[in-house]
Amino acid sequence: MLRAHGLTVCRFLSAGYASKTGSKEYIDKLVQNKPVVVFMKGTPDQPRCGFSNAVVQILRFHGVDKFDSYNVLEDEDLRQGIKEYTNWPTIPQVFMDGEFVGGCDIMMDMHKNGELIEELKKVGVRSALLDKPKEQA
Amino acid sequence: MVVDNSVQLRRGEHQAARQTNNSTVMGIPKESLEKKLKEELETVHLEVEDLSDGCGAKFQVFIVSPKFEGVKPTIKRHRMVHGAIEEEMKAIHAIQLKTLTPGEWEQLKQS
Repeated sequence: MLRAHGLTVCRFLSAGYASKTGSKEYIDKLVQNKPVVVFMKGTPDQPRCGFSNAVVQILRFHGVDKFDSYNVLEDEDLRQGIKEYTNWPTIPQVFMDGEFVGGCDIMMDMHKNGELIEELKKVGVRSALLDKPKEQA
Repeated sequence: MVVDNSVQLRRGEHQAARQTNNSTVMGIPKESLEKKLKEELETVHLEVEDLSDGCGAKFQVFIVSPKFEGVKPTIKRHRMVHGAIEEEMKAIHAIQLKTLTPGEWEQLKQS
């Protein structure tokens, strides 16, 4: 009896948890009302993929050191869920103020053409590039 | 004799099944990606590079297509590309995209 009961509880918890991190509601909460959120492979300090690393470096170049990041390698449900959420097939994925901005190529493009400074401004972040001497910027 | 035949047939089937399985695991051949992109996006210039060391799951793609005309921001163009190769994307791990209109390409060549 006790054993059966324990099993049920365990199953209930794991099923609830598994469907949670990949669900739209869960991801909504992760990204909404946050200036910058990155879904990546690895962590900002230990990226496990060159593209994820590139996104972190671009953000750091603009002085964005503090942002929420989620390691999809540690959560298979989130890894699939985020792809469905954005209808975007690859990781990393960058969000600003709840809106999906793009992956590595798009961040790199926006960095090169100056759009990133504008997009950061929209979410209340001043790019550090604006404060660098002109010859460096 | 009859038994032998059926065994052989079964073996053949197994082999076929294994090959199909392998081909999904092995990723996408560059040529099929090129063909699909050419057809779907009517590209005027296309460079597909396999960066995967042969496993076929990592590509760098440069596409010039009139279909990108008036499509902004870049993310929308990338979505068009993803859409054109939706099936293939399931087996592709990473894809680097550069998407230009013929006009933008001319500008790039001159600069």
